[in-house]
Amino acid sequence: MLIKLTGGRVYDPANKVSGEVRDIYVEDGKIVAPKPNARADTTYDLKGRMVMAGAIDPHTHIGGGKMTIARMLLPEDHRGDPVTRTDLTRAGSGHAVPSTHVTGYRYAEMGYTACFEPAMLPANARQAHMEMGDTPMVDKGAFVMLGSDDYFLRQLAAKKDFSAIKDYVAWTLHAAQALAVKVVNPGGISAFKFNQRKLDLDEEHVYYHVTPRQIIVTLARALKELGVVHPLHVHGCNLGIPGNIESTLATVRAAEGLRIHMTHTQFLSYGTEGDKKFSS
Amino acid sequence: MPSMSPRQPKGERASTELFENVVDPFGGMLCDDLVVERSGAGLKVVKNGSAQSIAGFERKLPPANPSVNGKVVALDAAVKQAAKLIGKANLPLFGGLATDVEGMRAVLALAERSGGVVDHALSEVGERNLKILQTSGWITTTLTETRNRADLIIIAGSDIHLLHPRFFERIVSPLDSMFDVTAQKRTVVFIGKGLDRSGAKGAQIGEVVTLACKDEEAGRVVALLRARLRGFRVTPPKASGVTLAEIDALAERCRKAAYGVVVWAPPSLDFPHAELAVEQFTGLVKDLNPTTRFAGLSLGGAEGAPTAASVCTWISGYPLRVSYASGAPDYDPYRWNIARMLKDGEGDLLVWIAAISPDLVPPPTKIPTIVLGTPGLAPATPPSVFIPIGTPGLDHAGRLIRVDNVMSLPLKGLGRAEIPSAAEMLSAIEAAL
Repeated sequence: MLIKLTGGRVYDPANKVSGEVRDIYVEDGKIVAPKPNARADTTYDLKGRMVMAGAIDPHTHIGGGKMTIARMLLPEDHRGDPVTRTDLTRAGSGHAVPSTHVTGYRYAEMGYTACFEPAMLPANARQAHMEMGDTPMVDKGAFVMLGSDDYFLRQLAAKKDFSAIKDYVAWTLHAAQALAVKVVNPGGISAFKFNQRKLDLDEEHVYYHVTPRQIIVTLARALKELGVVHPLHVHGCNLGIPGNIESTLATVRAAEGLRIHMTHTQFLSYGTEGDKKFSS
Repeated sequence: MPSMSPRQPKGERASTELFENVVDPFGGMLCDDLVVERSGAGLKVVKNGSAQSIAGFERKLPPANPSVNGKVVALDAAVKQAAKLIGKANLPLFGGLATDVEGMRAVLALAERSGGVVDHALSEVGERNLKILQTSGWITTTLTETRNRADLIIIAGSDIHLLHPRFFERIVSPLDSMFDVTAQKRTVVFIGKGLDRSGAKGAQIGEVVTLACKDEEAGRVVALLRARLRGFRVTPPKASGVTLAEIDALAERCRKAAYGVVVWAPPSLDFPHAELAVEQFTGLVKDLNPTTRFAGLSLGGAEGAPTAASVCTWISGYPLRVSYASGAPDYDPYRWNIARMLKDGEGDLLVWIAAISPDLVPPPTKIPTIVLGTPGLAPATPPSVFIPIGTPGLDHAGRLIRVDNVMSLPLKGLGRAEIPSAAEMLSAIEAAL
């Protein structure tokens, strides 16, 4: 079935198209160059509208037990934003942490076609996928957290050979059905369970005696060798702490040339200037 | 939709099959180490059963057929009649909700479509926690973290051993733990004189301490403890059963603990304003976290309550007691309480789902009821429509969320009986609207 989108103003930087009014043909879910005498089965008139590739949100908390706890914590936020069902769409609620269907609809309304849950706990992967399964319209994926995973930290502490670590990373990606691997305050979440209240890049975890640097470099290398497309997604050390720009820069250097994705770096790039000794 | 003829539980089968790593849907802990054998005679728990799981798995299902007003009908006819009643109702009430994730998804779709109310049979128990989660928040841990880390376990006013017979065996007393905490021996403290302490035994248990107050006074005792931890002068009333020396000793244990866990069970806190006791337990946890690690562990979870609360929350935005009458979800834990609504004559149709235990019968009511129930469920008032449904983990595959919320477990179908699931039937009813 051939679909024609006509009259829209097309923006496609990848193909150097910038604001040109032109037709786009879609067949079997793909954009195609139509055969010379092709007749469209359906035509949509997009005069006065823009046509762009769908946006991708590579880091959006849309699924997992923590989101459902957040929803339980915010009835007043949800009461302020009720969403009525229609013949085509489900009901729901919420602004800061909307219910799942509303999340999908809002993203679609904003022109997103893909969203990624960045912090999927391996033990909670099933629920993350169930919540994403109830998020319509957009494509979804998730990144699985390994930075405070006890099995991985034990391997690291025991200086297990690298192929065993790669196997565990690969197994976790598959078992959790994840697209990528995430670290959040690498090693620090685990350290807190042992009452260690901070963990700098080169500080040793009080039980495992491994450092965030080792965690980041080991996982980044494993992902590279496994051929995982998205690099290690890094929520670094000392989030929110004044002066953390130093550990963020140190983390970039620590990657030793391996690709890493530094996420929400704004919260990890504070200085200590000004009378409150807190600057952005 | 599956075959329209009335269903019977499966008769004799030639083969015997052994299933390992079977999940027990009859307890909130969702123990997943059961070994179950299926033979011509039915299911038998071969290993790791408890009285509750054995009763659940080995129960012989009585024959059960779809019926309308007491008369056996074809499944198709029952579905159509249910759809007719729901379509006509001004305010259908969707209660019971002892089902799995798929069942809850289907309930919410149907309730939304028909403008009804969604509330679980045991939500009153859940409210004891929810009120505190929503107002002050809390820090909780999981079963596994407790087993691996807790050097101090405080059982607060709740008979955990009675409600969860395998909790001590699997979490408090096992030989091994990940961080060798058992090598140093755990201390177990019971706040409440009537609590069964027999589970706290084994080489890994060091001291077992009991504060002999009345079980329902545990909240007050913890309040005294919190005050003492802050350095206030405290005088336990003579009638409390607890001395200042005991409170001070417990305060010292709390300060010295590396990872303390305060355990309570909402079903045990069966007295007015029980949430105030929960507030003290979670408050103690908060008071201790600035200097050491403490967490709470709530052990209710019967009849699929965690599943119902979580699925309802992610789909509607609210944790049960939701009305879709306006077309958008409206949350009101006082109004949309089905037990109260039935007593006060609100709502004109009750749709009751009870797939897990045959004891979860609907409350007596004069309004028409549609019951989707496990065979053997015997409602006091004969339902207008009855549709037998399977139990997840026995009759069909499914997913349930565990009592500590982080874990969800996949349940296998063990082939006990060929009965449709709640999800299949609710979807069929919605399609017939």
